[in-house]
Amino acid sequence: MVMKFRTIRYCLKEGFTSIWTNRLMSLASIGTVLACLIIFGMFLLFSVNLNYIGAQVQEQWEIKVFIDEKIPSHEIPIIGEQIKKIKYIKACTLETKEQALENYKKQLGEDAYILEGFDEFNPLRDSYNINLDDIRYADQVVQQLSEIPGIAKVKNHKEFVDRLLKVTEFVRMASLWIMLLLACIAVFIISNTIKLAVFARRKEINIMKFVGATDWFIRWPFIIEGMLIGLIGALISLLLVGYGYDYILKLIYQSMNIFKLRSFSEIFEALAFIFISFGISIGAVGSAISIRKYLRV
Amino acid sequence: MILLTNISKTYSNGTIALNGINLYIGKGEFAFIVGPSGAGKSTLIKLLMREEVPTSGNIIINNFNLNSLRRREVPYLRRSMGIVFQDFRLLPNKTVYENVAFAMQIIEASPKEIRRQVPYLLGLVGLSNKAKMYPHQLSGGEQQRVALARALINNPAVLIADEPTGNLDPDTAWDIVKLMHDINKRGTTVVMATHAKEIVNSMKKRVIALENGIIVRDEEKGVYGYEI
Repeated sequence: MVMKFRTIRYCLKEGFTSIWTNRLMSLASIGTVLACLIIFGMFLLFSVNLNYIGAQVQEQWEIKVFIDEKIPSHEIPIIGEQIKKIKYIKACTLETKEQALENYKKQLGEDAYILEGFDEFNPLRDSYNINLDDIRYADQVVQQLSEIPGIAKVKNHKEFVDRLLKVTEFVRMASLWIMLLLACIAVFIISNTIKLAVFARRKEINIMKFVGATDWFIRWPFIIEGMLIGLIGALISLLLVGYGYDYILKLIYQSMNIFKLRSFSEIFEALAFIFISFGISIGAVGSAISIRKYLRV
Repeated sequence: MILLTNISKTYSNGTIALNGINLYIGKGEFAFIVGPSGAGKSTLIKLLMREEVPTSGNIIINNFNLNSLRRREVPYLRRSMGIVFQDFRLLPNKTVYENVAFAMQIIEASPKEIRRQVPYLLGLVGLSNKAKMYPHQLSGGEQQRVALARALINNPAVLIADEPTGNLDPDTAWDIVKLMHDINKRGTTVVMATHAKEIVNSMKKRVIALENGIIVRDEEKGVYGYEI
């Protein structure tokens, strides 16, 4: 159906004014969109950050190989060369026993005095810290490392990292499903709210039908109204989620500083896009579904 | 022009509302449809405006064959007729002017045309000074006149009225019927279902009497014929 421009203008005007004339119902619908999007947004942010942390864990994870103390120090670089030849190794840095001691002292901070005296009789070993392209090759690499002569011990926290990654993966999948479920619930609740709004105006729709209005002529103002309600709900929830997230980030950084989290400005664009498109389409689909029944006159 | 052949209507609960109706109402006629409650008047009106579909038989109105009419063509049938109801059915959130203009907006008439036609029709029904009021600010008679103006604004060939005076006091009812009479004189076919005995008796127009779903009487210059 091709609409004349004046009809488009009419539909827009009707959609906008009816939000105001039915402001109580509009408020209820906006509130529903708001609640759904806020819960949705919370899960989205949670899962995005979990992803981010998982990536950081992989990035920071390393294999440590300790060099036998009987190996003379001038032969240590030879071992380093051998290590570098192994496939999938991204980086390999030497940490001498003196550096290792310094690092321990740094970690202990004020309690560093207990290490006094170890400077002369350093019990630590020289070691190489190794980063991999991908944690999945860890077993293979560890096997090859342990075959190099002069290496006393290969230490990796693979089990721990594996478990951590498994947990993050699980939580991520779970929150994805929860988000999907939430989206369905949101559409259901919102189309019900709109259904109430449409029900209150069924007489109006009925009259339009008897005066000879086509279905689309009746439908468009309602759809525009729904889209606008979705948009308003999306903008408000974006604002609330944004400020809330910033606040929670500050709280988290005060108590925990191991991992970096996504800052709000980093994800704002994606979040705004998701919220607005989600809100608008929920509103439009909800309206279209709810009005169908009353058009059959 | 309205032509009904062998129209029967049985509702899904088994009620037989109409049983073999044959009826012809020519262009420019004024016809009353009378009969006791439950005789089938309302069903007949509903069939004419395609709120209901007959169980059997054929209806032709204004060159629309209702049997082969598709769902998306229904609005165009309704545009070819003006409909007036007992309960007025005005849009509550629109002013008198907007209510009448609405019927022109749906046929995508130009704003210029709307600005010319609406005041003309409001003048015709005597409501020029109430254009900016809302339906709830008007009396019943005034609301029905707005409904009449809306029904007539697109120059329909047929005006269908379902007990248009049912909610009005006798004086106001007479005003409405006189208005419909004037409209009829300008060439519009008028079909009016009614209980108003005095009006039917003094108008001396065609009277079609329904009882138990069949036409029991069809007279030119007839009378109401029932004691209430």
